[in-house]
Amino acid sequence: MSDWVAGTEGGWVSMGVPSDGSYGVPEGLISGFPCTCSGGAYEIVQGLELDDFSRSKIDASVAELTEERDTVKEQGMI
Amino acid sequence: MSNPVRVTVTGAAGQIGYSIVFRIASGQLLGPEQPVDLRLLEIPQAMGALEGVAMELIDCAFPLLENLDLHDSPDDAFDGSNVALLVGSRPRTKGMERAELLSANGQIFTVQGKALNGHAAEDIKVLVVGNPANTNCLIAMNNAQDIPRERFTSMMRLDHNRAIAQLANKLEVPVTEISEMGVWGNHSPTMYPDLFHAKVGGGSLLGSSTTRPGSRMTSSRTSANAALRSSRRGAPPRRHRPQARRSIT
Repeated sequence: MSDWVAGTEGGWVSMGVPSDGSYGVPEGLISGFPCTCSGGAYEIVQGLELDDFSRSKIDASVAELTEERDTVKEQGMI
Repeated sequence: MSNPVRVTVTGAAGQIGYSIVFRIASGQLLGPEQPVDLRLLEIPQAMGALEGVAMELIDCAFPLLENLDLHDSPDDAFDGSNVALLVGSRPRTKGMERAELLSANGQIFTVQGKALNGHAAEDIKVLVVGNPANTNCLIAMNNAQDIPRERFTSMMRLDHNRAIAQLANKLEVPVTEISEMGVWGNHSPTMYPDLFHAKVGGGSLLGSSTTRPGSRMTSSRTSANAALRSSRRGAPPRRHRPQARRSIT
């Protein structure tokens, strides 16, 4: 929160943020991404290459997030 | 000095709450020139404990603590909030299924999302800490349709800092030498700390993905990943005990 407010001057911080579709993470899912902060806002770091190992790890975590989302959707929470 | 920023903390009488409210009141959150108006929210059963916390805060005579209010109602607690730290959540009890945990927390975060939507200040920033943090954040966000969704975040900073600390420990460098760390995904054992973009002393840790030589880089990646796997990173986040020092094997 402190960095979100004050800015990171280009430094990377990991934040769980609603995906905008970056890196194939379904839009709206709250996922950890490397971000930078400036002017009271954050931005997902763009243009990062993801190799097969990274891709499979991220996909597995996204699958878990998707399952959690589906569960709470079924329960009428969202 | 500027106008006070209204900071709301939920679950404020719990262990994390007790740790952070003093930092907030002392200026560590928003800086040494920024007064704060602190609103603490608890469940009715914890209001007695919360009053004790409040007395301790007052005893500190923090110059930046312009106001302190205690609440058991989310609508009141989030009224005019500029910053909301949603720490409180329902912990998993013995034998509780994941769906039950999600459901129990859903009830908390639907209410809090609606309260934020109805009462928070226009510049509200929300950080959800209470687990399961990502999905609790999702719930709060979806129950606050008038608040831009980029105001809702969930905490990954613990994972980020831990990854840096473990990596620095393994490499025997100061933590300040590590940059461009990223932790992707869920705040759960499936989280992915990304070493491929990480830098040590400004230089790439593992080399570029297009020019990676074979076994040397692979073993470096493997040992770095092994270091992280053998660390507490893979364990479910534990909040109620101090982090013990552990050597990386």
